Amino acid sequence: MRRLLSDSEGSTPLELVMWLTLLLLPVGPMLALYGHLSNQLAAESIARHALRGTILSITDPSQLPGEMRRQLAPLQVSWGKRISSYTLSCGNCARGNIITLKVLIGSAEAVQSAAMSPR
Amino acid sequence: MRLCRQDDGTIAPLVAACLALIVMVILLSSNVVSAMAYSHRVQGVADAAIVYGHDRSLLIGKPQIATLRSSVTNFLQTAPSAKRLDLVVVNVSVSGERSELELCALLQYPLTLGSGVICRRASAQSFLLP
Repeated sequence: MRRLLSDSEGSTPLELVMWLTLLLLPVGPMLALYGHLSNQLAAESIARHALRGTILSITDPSQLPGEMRRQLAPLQVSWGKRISSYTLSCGNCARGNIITLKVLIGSAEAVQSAAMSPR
Repeated sequence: MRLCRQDDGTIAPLVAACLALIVMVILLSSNVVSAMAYSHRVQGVADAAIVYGHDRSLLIGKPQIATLRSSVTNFLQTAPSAKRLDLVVVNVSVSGERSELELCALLQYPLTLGSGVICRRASAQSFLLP
């Protein structure tokens, strides 16, 4: 090994392959990391804006599920992502309760909570 | 000077430096990614908490600091999104008709030892619609 690393003779193609492998090695993890970041940011943003939009649009808690579906559709199109699943929970869904929206895009999960106005 | 022109030597330090650089880039990138995602989460919680508190503390259009503080605390203790954060600073203040909140949360870096604090601000104000 010592002789291999210090010898001035050798094969240029072999050396080229070795260097290319070494330099391209981080590309895979970096792409995976970028994909996860993109999904995470999209999930956080979609959850936040969909929840706020829904709360401002509804006049009655019974309108929650339908309005949430309507708010999520354009947001996922604008981000160019596909929401794997989402869950909406609001206890007994009374006025003033805290509503929690959990959005899943790929392996990225975002949870946002907000409350309906008590008035 | 002979050292600079000599073609004998070992590439081991070069390989080691290259590998160290790659590992460092991956670790730093993961920290940056985590911090960006976490700051979005903290901002979302701060926005929702101040709207919740402001809504419940208004008296003739002006937020009352004591009610605002207790409402924000109640939201941060009960909302599932806030319970996921490791909050270290919660500053509530009122400036005229505006309610303001500063939230700082502790972020534990995923691949490296150590942690950082991320702070976000949010404010809310009510307006009379004509």
